[in-house]
Amino acid sequence: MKSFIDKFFTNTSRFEFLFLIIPFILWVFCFRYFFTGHLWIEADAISYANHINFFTDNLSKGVYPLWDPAWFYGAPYDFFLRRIGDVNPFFFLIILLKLVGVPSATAYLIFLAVYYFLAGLAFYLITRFLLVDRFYAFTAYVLFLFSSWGSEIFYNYIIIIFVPIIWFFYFLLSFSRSPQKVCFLGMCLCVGLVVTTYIPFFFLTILAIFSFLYILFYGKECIDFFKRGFAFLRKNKIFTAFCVFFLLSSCIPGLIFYKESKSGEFALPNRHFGADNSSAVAVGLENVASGDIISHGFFDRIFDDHAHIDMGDIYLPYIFFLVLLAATCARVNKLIFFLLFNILALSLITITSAAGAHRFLYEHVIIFKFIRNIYYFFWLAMLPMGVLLSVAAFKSLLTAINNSSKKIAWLVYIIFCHLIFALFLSAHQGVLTGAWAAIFISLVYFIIYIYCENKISFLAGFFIILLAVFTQSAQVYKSLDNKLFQVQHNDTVYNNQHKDDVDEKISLYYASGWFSILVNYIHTLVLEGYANHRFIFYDNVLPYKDNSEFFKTLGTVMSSMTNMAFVPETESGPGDWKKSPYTAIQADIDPVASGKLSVVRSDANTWVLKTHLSNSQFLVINDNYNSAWHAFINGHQVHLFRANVSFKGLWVPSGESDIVLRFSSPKRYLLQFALIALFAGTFLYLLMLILSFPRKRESS
Amino acid sequence: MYKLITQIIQWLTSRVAVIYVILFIFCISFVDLKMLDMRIKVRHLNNAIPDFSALINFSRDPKEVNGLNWVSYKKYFELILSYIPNDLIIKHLLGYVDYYMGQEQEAIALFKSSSSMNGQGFFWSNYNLGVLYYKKGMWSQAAESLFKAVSSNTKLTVILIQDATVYKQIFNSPAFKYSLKDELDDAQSNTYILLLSSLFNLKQYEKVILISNIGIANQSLTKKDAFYYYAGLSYLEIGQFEKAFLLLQKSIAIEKDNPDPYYYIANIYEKAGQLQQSQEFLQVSYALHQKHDPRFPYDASVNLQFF
Repeated sequence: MKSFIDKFFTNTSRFEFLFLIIPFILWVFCFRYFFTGHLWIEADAISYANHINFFTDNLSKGVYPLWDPAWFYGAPYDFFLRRIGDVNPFFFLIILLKLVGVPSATAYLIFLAVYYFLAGLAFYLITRFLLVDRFYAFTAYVLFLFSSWGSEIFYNYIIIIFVPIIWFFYFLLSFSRSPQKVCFLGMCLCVGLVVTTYIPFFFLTILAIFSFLYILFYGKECIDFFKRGFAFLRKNKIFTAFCVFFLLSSCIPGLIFYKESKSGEFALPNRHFGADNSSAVAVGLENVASGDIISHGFFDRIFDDHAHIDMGDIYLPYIFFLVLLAATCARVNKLIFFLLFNILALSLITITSAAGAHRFLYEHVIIFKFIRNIYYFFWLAMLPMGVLLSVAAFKSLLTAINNSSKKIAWLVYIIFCHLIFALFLSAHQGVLTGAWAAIFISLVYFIIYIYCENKISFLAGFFIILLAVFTQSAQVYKSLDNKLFQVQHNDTVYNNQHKDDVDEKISLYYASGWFSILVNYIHTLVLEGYANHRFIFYDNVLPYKDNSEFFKTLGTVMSSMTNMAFVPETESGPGDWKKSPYTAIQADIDPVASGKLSVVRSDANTWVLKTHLSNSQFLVINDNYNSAWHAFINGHQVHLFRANVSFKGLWVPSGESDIVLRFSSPKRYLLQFALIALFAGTFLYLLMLILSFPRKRESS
Repeated sequence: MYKLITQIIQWLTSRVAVIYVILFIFCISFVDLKMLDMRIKVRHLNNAIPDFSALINFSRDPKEVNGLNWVSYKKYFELILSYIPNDLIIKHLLGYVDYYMGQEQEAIALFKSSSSMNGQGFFWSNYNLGVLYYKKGMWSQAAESLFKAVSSNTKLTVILIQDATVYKQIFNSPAFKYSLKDELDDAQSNTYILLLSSLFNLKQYEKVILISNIGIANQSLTKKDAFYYYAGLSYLEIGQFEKAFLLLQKSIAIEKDNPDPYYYIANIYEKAGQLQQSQEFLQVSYALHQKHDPRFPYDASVNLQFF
């Protein structure tokens, strides 16, 4: 045993991977039902999973999807690409898993788990960097891993931006100590990944507050940091130029998206309601308040009723609170203050109307007009910083115990703290047995620490902390599993019931701008009945002006499938209109069956059609119109109309015609693929630098 | 002393405990605690809003609704009361729920405490209290509460209900398809009927006649046949058979399916020695009884209501 302990001490770094992987395996065990397919992801996580799957499926076929034909009869896909951050090299993991035969859902969950592990790893490295001790880094890692961040990844999508953010801070800290290419490139890659999403503003805010407080707390180190950083950049000019190029390139998708969001080609009616900015992604102030930290019951079960814990509820293993309580009389240090003020500054923003800070920022700082779910600050920064603060206080406490000769006094104090916490818990309802066990295990740990040899207590610490956290968390997540089993089963019944309720108006989160207008005027049943016919041939085409009378007519025409299409008067001329009395009453709603039209090929961005007509007819494709769609007949570009308010329409000549409809320009696709290659290449370069970094350090 | 305080402050500022002090100062300086508290309460309330459809259906016809989950309503109303302890509307609604949960004493206490506002009577609490006493056969208490109900300010009742957030939630329910005014008028008619019945049971026949006349004169009330009926019964009790006969005839003229007036007319005929006519009316009364029309007798079909 003694030799094992000695070996452990001399080779701690070799055990490091084991420290990280064992808790992770236990975490996977807690959420095993998701991985086995018995439970499925919820809320926003569903749409992100669908979009990532759609994107990776298309990419593996060589198609870069910029249009989603299935999203409310077609919508630009850039919005979803910005949500998921399409250039993320980790998406290749999903493609790879699918290629080897792993089902889509499993591949996505493996990606999520790997990504979460990466977040935990970065958090471990940051703590190890700041507290210079593997034990505290391990404690922070375990607390973070088993906190409700672990369930949040199945409920939410912010893990997508959290991983680059947390790794950015690790690289930044490493760079501040020793300016190296690997750190700088890591920072750039992380910033690039965040910037390519449509919500880089969380990161910018966290970084701004962090930087401001860093200057306040570490002024001297800050000057030193800038001097060394500047020297590094001067020394590595080509490398710096590449990084600048990389960062500028990563801004391109965001800028294109911002421009598109102002064009009116797509709409986010619920999100945009009350916003004073013309961008469709801007959010109204009242809408932000509904996404702040007070508007949800996230904290309601922090001490109560863990048996009924729900997705999104905040849970932290009680070791976190016990340590904070016991460390009350330990020495405070600058790091604790620094973290505390970061948390306080962010909390002022996250409580929106309960403090003036958010309103001020909303009115004066443009990025705040685009942040809706402001409570994400909690997950992205406040929770990790809180855990870090708690572990920093823990270190301070153990140092105080270690330096003291009054063992009995410390023991009494520790028992007192545990009793106080137990008393506090007993006043709450539904405290699980795991929580009491965690308190007991924590007490055992402190007794061992106070009375046993340092080496033994150090080694025992890893296992005891893990045991205390896991004992409680396993029970909490078992309760969550039980609840989800119940809820997801009931939801299936509920959803099936509501599918029959066709009278409800379509609720649009995101859709083509014209379609969002159409749904306001045309009854859902009529619209669905009409748009389910993908191709319709008309003989008569009439101009229209937007007014409520027209929409009444359109509704009638759509429901009766009258042989009459409409094009906007302002976007067409008399030559485009045609009205003949000698035509069929009804439009040809199934030209595929009548042999007039055949679909040669189609993908997310393209339609290739073949037509055979006896006379010229107007073809309406019930896929939403967008000005970036282009139409070609027999190789010649033709005018693509916005037909029947929201859909695509074009005149097709008599005889045989080859029709091609393509979304966006070849340049755009080239740009997208180039960016993917740039990010993948940079990631590989970073990996290469990381792998060579320890050897360089050893040789130096 | 000064040195000791300085030492304590120095010790405190050098310990982790100081973060709690900072947190406290931060909260009282930068956070609008009142707003925070209010928003948390609103969230809790929003999360607790039950589906009112079943309660609405129950209020209309208790026999039609089985296995109603009263707990969700009770929890919701109790939560509101914990934030706004003097809310008259919520007390009344909680009283209604408590009664059907078998907590009669709590219901009575809640109805009593919500029966008036600034000296003005709130119709529904007095009505429910009256119905509750009536069902228990406590005629004097029933008459007192029902009298307060008929004397209450109906305009105030309508305004209070229309302004109450919880009633807005009830009205938003797809199960609510009723006119508030019609429901109130109907409940007022029932109040008169129960009041007349209570007074009749108390043998206060003159009061019955007086209130019947008031009821008959009130244009907004329905079921006026019942007012004639009770007035007729009272005249019968005090021996004025001719008046009783006319009033009971009037009652039948308005509502011919109620078996009770026929029975008492048969009694009058019997007392007058006209056995043939008496027999005929008795037969009609018996035949109508056999139909088991759920509307009759009026007082038996009256239940507690909240709208």
